[in-house]
Amino acid sequence: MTKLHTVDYLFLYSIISIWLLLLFNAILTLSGYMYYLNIKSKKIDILKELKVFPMISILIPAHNEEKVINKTLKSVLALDYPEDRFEIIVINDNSVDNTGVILSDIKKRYKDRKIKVITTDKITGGKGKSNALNIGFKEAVGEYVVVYDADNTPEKLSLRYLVYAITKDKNLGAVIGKFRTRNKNKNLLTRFINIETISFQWMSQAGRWKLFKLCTISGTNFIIRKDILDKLGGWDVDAIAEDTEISFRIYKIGYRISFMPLSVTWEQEPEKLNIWFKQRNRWAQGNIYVLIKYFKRILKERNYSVIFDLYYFFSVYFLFLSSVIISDIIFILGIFTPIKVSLSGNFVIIWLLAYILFVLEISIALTMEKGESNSKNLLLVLIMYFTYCQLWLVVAIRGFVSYIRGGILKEKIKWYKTERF
Amino acid sequence: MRKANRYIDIYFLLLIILVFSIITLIFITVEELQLSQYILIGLNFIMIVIAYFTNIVIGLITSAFLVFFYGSYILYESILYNNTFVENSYIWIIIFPLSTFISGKFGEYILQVQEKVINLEKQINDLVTIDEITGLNNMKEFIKDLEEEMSRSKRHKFGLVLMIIEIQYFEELINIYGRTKANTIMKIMANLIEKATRNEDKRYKVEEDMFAIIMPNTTLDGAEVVKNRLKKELENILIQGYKGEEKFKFDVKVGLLEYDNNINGALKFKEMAERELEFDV
Repeated sequence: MTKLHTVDYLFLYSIISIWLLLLFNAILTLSGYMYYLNIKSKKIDILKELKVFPMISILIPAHNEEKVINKTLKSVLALDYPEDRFEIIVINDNSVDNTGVILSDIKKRYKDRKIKVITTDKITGGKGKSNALNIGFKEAVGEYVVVYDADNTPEKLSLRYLVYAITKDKNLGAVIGKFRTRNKNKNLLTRFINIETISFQWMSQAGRWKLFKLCTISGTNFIIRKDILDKLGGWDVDAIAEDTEISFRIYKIGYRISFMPLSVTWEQEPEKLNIWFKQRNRWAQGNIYVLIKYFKRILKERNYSVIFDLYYFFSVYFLFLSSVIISDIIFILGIFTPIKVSLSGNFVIIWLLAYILFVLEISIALTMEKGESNSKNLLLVLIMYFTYCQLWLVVAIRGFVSYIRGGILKEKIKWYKTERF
Repeated sequence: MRKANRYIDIYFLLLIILVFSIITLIFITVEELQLSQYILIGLNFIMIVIAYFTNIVIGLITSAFLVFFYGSYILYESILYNNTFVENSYIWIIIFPLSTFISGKFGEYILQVQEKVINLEKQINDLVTIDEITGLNNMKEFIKDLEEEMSRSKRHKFGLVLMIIEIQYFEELINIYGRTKANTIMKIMANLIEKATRNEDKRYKVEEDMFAIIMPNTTLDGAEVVKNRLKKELENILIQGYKGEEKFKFDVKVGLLEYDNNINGALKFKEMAERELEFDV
């Protein structure tokens, strides 16, 4: 064996971390499928099995949502749950469009229903979703709090499933439902997003729940105990990925978050690439914020859920990203300069392995969703690796850059609201 | 069903093409079959079987792990031993998932067709009310009608007689003359029964060797007349054969029972009427 140089070690590092991620994802897929089988074999008859109806407060933060808020409220009002057992709190957060008018209109039309509208202005509101949620949750009277984004169309039984899941287990601090893409047939981008959301939820959420009994709240269609929110003091106003951040704090006080795939909401995904970029950039930046916030204390951490989830985010954002960048740099250096990897061997294999496993795992995840495992989606998965996934790389790098810039220049990170169609 | 049939053909062909390609590949690239190659082929065929008998998802998951471990092995070999592998080692990474996919799909469509056939069989059994040999109604219809007639007779105080006709030594009849001829005989008997009874009587073939006749508005004496006539006709049957007319002699037992209000349930009524057969000697 020849003597190894720094560049070889770097190369080895990137190969090993990619290999680790491949292994990890294969295991996640397997456990996601096992959870799918569990849920399928239970055959919950939700209309008969849910007998107690605790008071629920549904929070809907809305900032300039005139295009979607009407339909959202209508579907929330139509939820199959006793009318007097849930209230709807809409936080009209510093809107400059017609959202306020639409809201008071609906309030008038449904006089006998419990709808509260809280309107904030530039001074009290307009500081992002966490702030809006905090304002709303102070008004909440329910035993549990449920959050829907302003563009959601929850299925009629979705609330019942969430309540059913959280009331059954005292160790659960929160339960998340599933979100699907309402506009999946609009264009190529939304089709990709559809495949991405399905596989993310079946692999990452269901898989992690089955393996380690933890999930990350994903911003919409989730239920959380009000007393936990009180204890935590609400959402972190500085976090732009407020959902990931609060998930970490829920694990820290010893509760679990579970995944209930039978509760489904349909949401609108970005139809244009630039909007997609802005939205994902926010996620990446937010997740990096959470990661660094908790990573500083990892050595003192005793809670294994927190450690595990930190590792998960760490592997996605640091290990994978750095190894892809390193191997790309080495490749380019190898072409233009005399610096070359002295390791010989077939390294195309790791690339091929990654691609085949990617296609396999996504296809498996798609079979768990009714009607999504078809030849058209299979074709999309085959090209997704070279197109959509590469965009994520750009997003992740940009997220880092923005985060670092925010840290150095002390720029206040702005909460970007996804535009609607 | 037709669509599934077409897919079965397609996936069967693909499977054969795949197996053929694997064999060709080995013939072309490998001069001397190594143990590792042999194991890979074996694993691939096991995968095909697993995917066929479980379902496509389990097949794909197994192949994902197999691909992962095999890939890791190649990687390990190339890093530590600088082993630039035989060229066709890459191909296995593609062949594993491909064969599970094809055989999983093949199994899926075959299962679809099998389930459909089972369902159809069940549906047909539920729907059929006619005995296919004689054209008379069958047991299912008999029980339904008998219940109906019993409650009608109870309400309107009409007489109701149930007649059971049993052909003796039916097994031997089949053994001697064969199934086809036995069926013809049954058909002729059914015709004779139809002629000998009144229009408003209802005739059934309830078991392989047993007919039943529901006779509403009839007394036991009236039924007795029909019984004697029937017995005489059924015991001598003429069949048109190759060598002119053939004459057959059969032993037939007939049981008669009049309905009274103590009998509850059609099955009970039938059972009691069958017991009457013993007295017809």
